[in-house]
Amino acid sequence: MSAVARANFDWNALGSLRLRASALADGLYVGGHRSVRRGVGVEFGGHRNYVPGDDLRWLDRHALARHGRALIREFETETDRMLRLVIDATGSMGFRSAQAPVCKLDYALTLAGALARLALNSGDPISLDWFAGENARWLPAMSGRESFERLLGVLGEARAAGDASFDSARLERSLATVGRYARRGAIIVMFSDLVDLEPRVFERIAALGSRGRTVLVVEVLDPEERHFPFSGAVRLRTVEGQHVVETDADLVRERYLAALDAQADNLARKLEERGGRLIRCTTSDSPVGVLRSLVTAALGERL
Amino acid sequence: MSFVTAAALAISLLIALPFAAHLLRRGRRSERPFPPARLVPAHDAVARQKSRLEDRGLLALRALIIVTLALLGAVPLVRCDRPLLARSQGASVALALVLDDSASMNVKAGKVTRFEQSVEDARALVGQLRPGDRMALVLAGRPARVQVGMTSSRAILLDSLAKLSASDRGTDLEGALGLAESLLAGLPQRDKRIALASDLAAPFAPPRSPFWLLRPEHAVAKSDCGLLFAQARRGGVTVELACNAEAAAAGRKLSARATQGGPARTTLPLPTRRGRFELSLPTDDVGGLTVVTLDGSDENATNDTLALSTLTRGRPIWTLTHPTDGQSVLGGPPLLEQALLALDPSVELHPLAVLPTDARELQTASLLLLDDPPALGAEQRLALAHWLEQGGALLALLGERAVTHQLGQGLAPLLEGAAHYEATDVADANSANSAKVAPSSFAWLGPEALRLADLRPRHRWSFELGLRQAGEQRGTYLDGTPLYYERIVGKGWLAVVGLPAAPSESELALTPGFLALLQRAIEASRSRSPDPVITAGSAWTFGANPPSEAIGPAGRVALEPGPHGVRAVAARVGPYRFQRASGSEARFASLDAAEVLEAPRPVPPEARATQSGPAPRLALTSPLIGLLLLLLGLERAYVLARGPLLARFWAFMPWVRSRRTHAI
Repeated sequence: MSAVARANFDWNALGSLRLRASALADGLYVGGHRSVRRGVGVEFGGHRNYVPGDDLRWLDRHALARHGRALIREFETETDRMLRLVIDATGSMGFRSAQAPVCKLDYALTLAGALARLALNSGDPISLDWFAGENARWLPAMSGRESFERLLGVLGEARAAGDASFDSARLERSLATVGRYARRGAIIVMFSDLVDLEPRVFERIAALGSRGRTVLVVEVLDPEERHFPFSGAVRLRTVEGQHVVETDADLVRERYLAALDAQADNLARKLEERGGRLIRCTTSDSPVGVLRSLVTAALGERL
Repeated sequence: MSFVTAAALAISLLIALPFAAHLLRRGRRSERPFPPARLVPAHDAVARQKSRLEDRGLLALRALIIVTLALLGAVPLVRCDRPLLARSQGASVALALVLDDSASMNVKAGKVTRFEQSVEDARALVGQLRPGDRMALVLAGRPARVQVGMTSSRAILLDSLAKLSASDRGTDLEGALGLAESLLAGLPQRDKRIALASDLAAPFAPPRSPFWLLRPEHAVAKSDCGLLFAQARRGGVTVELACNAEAAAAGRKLSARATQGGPARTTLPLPTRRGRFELSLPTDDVGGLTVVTLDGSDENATNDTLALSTLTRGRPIWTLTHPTDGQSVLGGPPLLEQALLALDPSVELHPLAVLPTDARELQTASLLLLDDPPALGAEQRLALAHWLEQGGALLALLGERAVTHQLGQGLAPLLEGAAHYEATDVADANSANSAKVAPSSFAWLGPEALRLADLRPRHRWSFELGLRQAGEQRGTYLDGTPLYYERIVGKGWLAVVGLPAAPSESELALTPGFLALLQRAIEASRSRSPDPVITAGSAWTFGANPPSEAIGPAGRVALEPGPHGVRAVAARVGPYRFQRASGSEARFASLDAAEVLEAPRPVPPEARATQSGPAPRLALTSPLIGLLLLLLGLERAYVLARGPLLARFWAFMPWVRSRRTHAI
């Protein structure tokens, strides 16, 4: 998250927002919030690579002795209410028009950070996944006060880079990884401009909503992308790929906006079929309002 | 066009600037990043819109302003292509336009001939006439003549100009200028001018009135070889031609052809020389040959083709003069011959030592001039009488030698009554025997008769005239003694002057009246036995049996009444045919060699003005300045009307360029 995003975010405006467990979630309740422990008696959920900071209690010493690799054993606890943040850091997310206060990635990072803080305050674990990006480091599920600072450190280093239009397979692999590790009852929040994504990627995103997971997609657009304020003859070039189009802005504005809405409607329909939601915003919108919409969407669907 | 003028006009090339500005502005429309560009549909019309000129009206207006600026810059440097009749303080103008319609004006000056260009100039001048202006049109082709007298009617002038056609006449510039001056004399306008449209290829003296050469560029010599006359004879074709430069003759050939454009039947290389010369094209069969051509080219192609004639040029004038008395004190030919050559340089003279005694010997003579002849013998008198009866023309200037002292000699048929030679009182002008000429008795001779009043002859012939000689012309002394008389003898014409040409006796031969008398004799002889071949510009006179119709190279020829009969002027070179009661008669008009050989005279500095009168250049450029200002104002108004005023204001600010501005 950039310093600008930090400075501009009004945390007080969030009020008493809390991410609460779904009524349908199976698990134990400890106090007013769900437990974050991966305790005894839970179902084995698989292995993953060790990253610094992991609890050594879950280190699979047998695997270390046998294969020489540090692996962490993970268990699915039915009390888990994990927040998995998936951020699109492809090149198009770095776009910022003259009228926009920040670029799309910075806006998405702000929202992600704020959402993570809400989750951590509620005692829910968070994790972080990326689509492309530069210095975009993956973070495993974690909780605790220090997790927020760790998250901010990772968010602050990320830069928009990469071309989704040329490497949709990589994107699909990332989504598959998210789907594999997201447990039942987890909330998956994806921040993306949905630009240059193929239709089958939308299917993959919507498919994350299976197994009791909630998928929320935040479409972050620049105001220029949302309103197409050009006039006369224009020559436009994509950020990802080298697609160039010459057109008359006045004549094609309606058709562009219709195509943009159709794309969003397509994804929204797919998400809603699996209990998910699509939230559309622009970088000129108030992050607080978007965050309210996010929390409302997450809770409204499951309560 | 000078370099400076061309440079000024080259400013108009800046018309490309608006186009360049358009292209530059088009180039500034660079790509802009737009991540969802794949969702933006392309529009086909955009490419066309890019290449299309934006704002065509503005572009045209700017181009027009640039062109106007270029013209404005060049106007002070460009000579006006049309003559400009400027006025001094707006006063009325009396203008005598001398238009040279001689053969040398047929040289091409661009796409048209000099003559056609001059006619156009004349039309332009007529178009500038205002109420109160007067204009006359004088033609300088030989003989000089007044085409239109002083008039203020544009219609008459334009109608007369429309009827003008090119001719092959010689040039009489001095006579034309004299006529122009006489036309201007007595007019009330203070601003009197002579406009001269000529190549100046003839001697002339600058007139007293201000004169203005319309096109000084016409007074430039053009290398030229011209055919003067071509005659088919037994054994070949004789061609007279003239070249004014050796370069004009170099590499050219003379050919005789059956038809113009047909194959040459006989050819002869042209000698590289200048001047007038004669060549013979040898051929055994001249039958069917109709045209002679000068192959190759020079700067005047109009005289490189000439119809072939079968007529013989010229009929000589026979003269009989005293070998010493008729000469001037400076020597040279006798005064009589000098006067004849002055009237017509191409005249063929046949001097006689004694008068023939047989009329057949005089058959080839058209005119016989006797200066101080001796008294005639019986055979000579009979021969002359017979020749006169047959149509001869004779002018006798009687002097002391005509006094007879021998039996059987006399002055018949010159004088039929009593006559005697007497001395006059030269010292006392008031004496009864002072022999002063009465000018009024020579009024029929024209203004040239005025100087005859100054004659003071030492001796004179006094003779009686019979009353039966009706219709004759006479001239007398103040005391009534006849000095001159003429009469018709059969078909012939006889004139007698009671004074010789010798300057020792009187100044008769030095007066204009003497030339007028000789001209009268020449015309009288031509009317009786006209020369079948004359130079263009001359006229055939038919005293008896006038033709009913005349056809020339340019069509029908007008037949005009003259003092000695019907006249037909040969304006163009070539064959003529006259239909007379006795049958069809062929004549031929040749080209005057002077039209080829005479070089243009230097243009007097005072005649070089680019326009007549004071030069109101501002009057010419002021409308352009006004037009320019109007266009600039329109352009500004147009630009401001095209968009919001504020946007136009920011567009003027060079540091505010972030947004595309339409026009500045």
